[in-house]
Amino acid sequence: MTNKKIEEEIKKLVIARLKRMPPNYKFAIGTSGVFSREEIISCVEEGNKIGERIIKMHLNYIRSFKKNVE
Amino acid sequence: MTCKVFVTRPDHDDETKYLYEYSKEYIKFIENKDIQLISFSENKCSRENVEKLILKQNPNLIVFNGHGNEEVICGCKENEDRNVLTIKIRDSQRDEIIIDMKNKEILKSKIIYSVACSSAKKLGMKVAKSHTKTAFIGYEEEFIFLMDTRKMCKPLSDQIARPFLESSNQVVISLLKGETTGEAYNKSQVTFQKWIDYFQSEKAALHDSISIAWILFSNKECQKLHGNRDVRLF
Repeated sequence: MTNKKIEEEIKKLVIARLKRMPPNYKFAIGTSGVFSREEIISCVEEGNKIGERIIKMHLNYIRSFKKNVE
Repeated sequence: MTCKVFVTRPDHDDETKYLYEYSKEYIKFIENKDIQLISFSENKCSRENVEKLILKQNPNLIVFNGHGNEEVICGCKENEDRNVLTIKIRDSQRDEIIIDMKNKEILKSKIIYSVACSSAKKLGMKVAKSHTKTAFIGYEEEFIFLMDTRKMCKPLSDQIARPFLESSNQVVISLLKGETTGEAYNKSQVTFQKWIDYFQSEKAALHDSISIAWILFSNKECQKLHGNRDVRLF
């Protein structure tokens, strides 16, 4: 799989997880502001700074399971 | 000698309102102890007032609630009548800078806990190097938390925000119990992990497991202690 395809798959995974969040939950992201679930999903789709941070947070979290197994 | 604790508590937007409300939990704790509390709410949280207070009262512990970035900690919302340093928070909001690289020396030899996003990254690192007795606990990335829109008018009853803010408050509670900065940091880390474990367990609803644990994990990972790990308030 190419890097681009992997990135797209990761985006899909993160968006699928975000869609499971209840709609009444909002994200307070420091100086960036308060965001709804839909706004965060748009950030991930667009690949802006907040979206990149959300993806990185998910990946670090998922990788922590691997560390725990090792 | 009575120990002095200084807390900045601006409350001009949703995030600072939550920090303001949750700070009541450790303020209640301070009021039951022989500790002098100096609390600055929104109208007092200017750079000038904060500098004066720190220089005059020389508090042992300073807790900064508010916005920030890698190089600054903010207080109140911009007051257009005064010519002060500010940073853009969002399109319609600028907040006053109360601590930056220019006045960071006033934090020398103090214990600092800053919830201001990313302030541990550069500012906190530099402050911690100012004196061997200085300790700076904060976050190297943005401190992110979830809010339940149905509870935003009563943040203390928001069970979705509580795991984040309770883990953060643990730093202050431990310090107020006379524990070292290293112990306070470790206890906060343990509290983050306790909540992560809970949300990874079958006890939590699946939608909460998916929603909350990864954000708690991120806050736990980016929380740092710079400087002296062995200082305590008393």
